[in-house]
Amino acid sequence: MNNSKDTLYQLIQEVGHSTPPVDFSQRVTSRLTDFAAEQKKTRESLPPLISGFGKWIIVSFLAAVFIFAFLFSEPSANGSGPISNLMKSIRSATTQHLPSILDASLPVFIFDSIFFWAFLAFAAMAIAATLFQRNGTSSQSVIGSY
Amino acid sequence: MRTEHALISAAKKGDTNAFGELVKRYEKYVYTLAFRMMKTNEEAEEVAQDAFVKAFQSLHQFREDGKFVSWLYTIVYRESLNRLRRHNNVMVTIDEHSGLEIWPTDAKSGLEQLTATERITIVRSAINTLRPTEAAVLTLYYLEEYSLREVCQVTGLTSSNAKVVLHRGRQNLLAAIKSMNSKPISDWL
Repeated sequence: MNNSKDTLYQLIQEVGHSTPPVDFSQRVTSRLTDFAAEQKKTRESLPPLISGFGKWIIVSFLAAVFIFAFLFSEPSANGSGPISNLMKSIRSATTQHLPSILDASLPVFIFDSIFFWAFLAFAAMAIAATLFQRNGTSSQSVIGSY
Repeated sequence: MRTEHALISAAKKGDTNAFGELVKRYEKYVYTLAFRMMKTNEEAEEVAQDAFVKAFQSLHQFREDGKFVSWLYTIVYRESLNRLRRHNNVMVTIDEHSGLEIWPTDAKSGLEQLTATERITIVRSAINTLRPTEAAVLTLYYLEEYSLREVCQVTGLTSSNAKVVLHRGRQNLLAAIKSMNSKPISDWL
């Protein structure tokens, strides 16, 4: 640091910190208490979209649908890697024990329908929204990231 | 007395009293940076309060591998700039700097002849003439003794921009002190 920088350093150090008003911390704490109370009130006033049990029913249903889709969807074109082979062997091992009606074209028709996948996406978003609100973090999304 | 880590952990769980302790510990640091940027007590208090409330709301984002006060400074700096932008009276662009930094010897010798109170009054007034970013960078660098890298982390400036702001801030501060000190002291007190 040259001489002028040293002098500036001394002068700024001499000025030091500014002093906030005497009751500053009390005012901040008061605002925080109000904020916490309001957040709690908001959280309590929001009815959960889906009850705890209903949520698990939907999760189980979606999981079953995905497994069903996995079993009946066409394997990737001429896949020969280890994962592809594993998928093929799981499919063949599982489907040979299922009733013959499931081998019909109905599942393929269902899983090819855009409405079906739109429904799945909607259901997934609903569950995500429910979980998000129950954690009480939805109101904090406006705060920005530091 | 609880450690900073314990207070932060408690505050993350929603303990407002623990956060109140943190406010008491850091209020003068936060308020100083806010005041240097906003220039008035009222605005500085509002910015400092808003910064603490935002810090509490987003405390879960604070990674405890960094300094808590630096994280607070980042919030204060952004909050101040946002408020100044809303009021449309901030210049955050970096323009070219000119000339060499020369400490005016007459100003220095003049300052040495003053009492500490007079000197502080002049320097404080001179800091108030700086642009908000210059005031913030000088405060962090000279008062808090932050390295240039830490200044960049708080302000989001690039290293070269921070150097320019620091250089220009020094020049402007020295010029302001010189112009103020050349006048009779009675004009300032």
